[in-house]
Amino acid sequence: MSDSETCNGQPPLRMLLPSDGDLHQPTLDFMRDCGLTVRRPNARRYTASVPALPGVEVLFQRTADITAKVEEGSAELGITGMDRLLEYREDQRRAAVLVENLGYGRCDLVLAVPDVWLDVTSLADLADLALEFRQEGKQLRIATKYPRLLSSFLYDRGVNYFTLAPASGTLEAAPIAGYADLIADLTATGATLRENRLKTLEEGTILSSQACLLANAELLAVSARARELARALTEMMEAHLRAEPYYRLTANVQGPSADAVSAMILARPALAGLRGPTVARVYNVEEQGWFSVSLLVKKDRLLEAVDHLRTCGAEDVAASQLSYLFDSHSHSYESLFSTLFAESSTSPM
Amino acid sequence: MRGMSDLTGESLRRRGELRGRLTSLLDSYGYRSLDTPLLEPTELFLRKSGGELASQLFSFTDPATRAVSLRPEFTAPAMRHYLENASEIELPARWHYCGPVFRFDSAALQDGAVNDSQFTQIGGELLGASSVLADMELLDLAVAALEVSGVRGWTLRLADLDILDGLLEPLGLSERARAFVVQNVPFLSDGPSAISRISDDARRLHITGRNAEDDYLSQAVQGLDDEEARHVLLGVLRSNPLDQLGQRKPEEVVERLLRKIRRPDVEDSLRLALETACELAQVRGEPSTALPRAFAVLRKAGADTSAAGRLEQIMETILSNQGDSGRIELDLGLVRGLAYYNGIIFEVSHPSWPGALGGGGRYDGLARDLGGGQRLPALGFAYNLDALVELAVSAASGSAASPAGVLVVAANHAANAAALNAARKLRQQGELAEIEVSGLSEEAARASAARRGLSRVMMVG
Repeated sequence: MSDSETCNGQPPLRMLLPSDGDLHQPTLDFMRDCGLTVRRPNARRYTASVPALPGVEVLFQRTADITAKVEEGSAELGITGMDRLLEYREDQRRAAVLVENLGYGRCDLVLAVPDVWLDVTSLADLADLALEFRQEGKQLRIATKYPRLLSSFLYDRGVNYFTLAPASGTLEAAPIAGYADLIADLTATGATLRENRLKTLEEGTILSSQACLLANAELLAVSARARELARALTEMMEAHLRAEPYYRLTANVQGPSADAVSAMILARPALAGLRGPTVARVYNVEEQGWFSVSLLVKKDRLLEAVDHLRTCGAEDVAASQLSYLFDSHSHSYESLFSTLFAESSTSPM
Repeated sequence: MRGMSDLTGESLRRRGELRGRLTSLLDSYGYRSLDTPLLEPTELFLRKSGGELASQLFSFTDPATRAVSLRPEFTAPAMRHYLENASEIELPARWHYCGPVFRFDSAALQDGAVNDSQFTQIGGELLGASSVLADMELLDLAVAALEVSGVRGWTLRLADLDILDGLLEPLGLSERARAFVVQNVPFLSDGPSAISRISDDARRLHITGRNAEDDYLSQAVQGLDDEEARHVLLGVLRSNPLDQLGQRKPEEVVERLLRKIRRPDVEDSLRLALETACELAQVRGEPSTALPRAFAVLRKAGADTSAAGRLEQIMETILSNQGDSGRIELDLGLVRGLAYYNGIIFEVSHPSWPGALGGGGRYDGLARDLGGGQRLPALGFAYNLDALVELAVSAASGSAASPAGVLVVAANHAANAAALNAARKLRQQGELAEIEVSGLSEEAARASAARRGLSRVMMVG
């Protein structure tokens, strides 16, 4: 990084990425897929750069610490799980969500009870049981690493009497170890729960989480250079996420005129691109009446779209992965700053 | 800090003075003083009041990483004190207490309202007495406290939760469904229009309705009588390793399962419960007219009237001893908190004070809820002392005499010792004597004394 890119010895934009756990490698893969490959000079270093965006410094932190670090101003941006953000966040302005769903790191925070509790199948049963325990002078003990999310979830649903058991080590073992009656924990597939003879409850999903991009909006508000870099980063991520569900199809189609070709393709609007096909004449020495057609199609309808183009007389159908799909503006970025500036113009910071 | 204020001079003196009078009253009823720590484990308060209270607690993690809270009231700490020292405490035990309590009111803070987050509570608890005479003593004391405080124009609303319980009992609702009805009584007191919304809530909270998995189990034991079904289900359960049952026994699981799958959908009985509770909740007013209405509702529903009879007896006694500083009403729409009180409850309000001045009631289940193993008959009341001070003053404004006092001025350095001696003598005679320490001239000292409400100046030397 050149000196001109630093400000008081600090890089213009610092971004925290998970150094451990289930989010570490998927985050690096996601950054690469967005064209924001992270270059780490060596694996023991806790700082890295994003060559595509000079001025961005990446710092690796424990997933659980990232929310607090962004809030305290150690960095302008961070990626962590929505679960961690909601559990640890104290201040919505200092840890605002910039992009809610980064499309990976999916997991659910669920309540799970022992399989042998045959009588407990839903959250309503748990609410009944909590009261019955209370009648007998016992406390329903729940082990979790998410006391805040769990408590507010249960209180909202009329489950008022329970104790949080201190969570340590593997939660799934808590009922066997005897320090809790049930648990609230993260699960991606439910396999670990099943192996430990625990079952989830109907209506018992506390949160469906995935990775998200968060920002310290107060820090961004004071640095134009940081805002510019944050916007670039957000745009790349959003455009990548928007592009992800699509292939670009191109094909040569023979027909009497561009209008006639496009009319044939538009006969099935769902397979005719986001706003209709682009049709352009192919200049061919030997034959007349060839047109090049280009359109975007949802990945799950690829073969259907290819068949449709064939019935329209297409040859040489090529499908390619789309890297980015930019909208007219960045929704996430604008919504963050419209709220921020609306607030700061009416109330003192 | 918002919701917390400094108290100075006159208001602090008035609080101390009223506190003294109320403490003497409580002493004269045989209540002994009890003080408990400002901080308690958060769980103590959650065990008492559950999630209802959670958002009002000033909770934090102490340096030893324990979850602790500033006390929001004294009842749970008093009961904790009893449970920890039960072997040395002779029942019935009577305690009084006075001190600051803390309740965070986030809604009020957002509205810009000035609900105090910290206020002084004064009250008493009577443990180990289940008789109706104990109920009478507590109410008598609560009314006497209002009279001693000099507040006029208060209203004490009284109810007995056993009346509602007697009404719900024959409907065979689950514990949770009953708690749900009780919790909704304040909405039902406005009339039957709330019933359909509350029924929707019941469905959303799965108090009514069934789920598919239970239907499956229900079919599995169809055609079997309870004994056979119990046998089959226990067999199913025992084919699993039982190391995860925790605090539950296999028989308990099977019993609850059987109850659940054999229980008819409670939608109809819940609706009936809400409708009857609604009629009862609208009974409010002068005891002489309201009580007969309560009896009428109960007889119509074919419910037990013994709790209403007991309340009638209590009311007669209290009304016959009552002065004219306020009035006592029956209000069967009154519910103080959720699943906590049983038996009599009351709340005191005043037109010049937002919210309640205080209240109390019987809470026989608290000892068990706090881990005491069994129920212990207990009752208590508490008032917001700061509110009483404020209302007593506005009722008798101007009558509070400002204390007379003497400003003792040493004419020169040589007279310092004489001034100290003169002040000491005045104090021994019961006067307030303040020494002038700023080196003011006689004239300036007189002006200063006048500004500060001291009636005389004594020059020494």
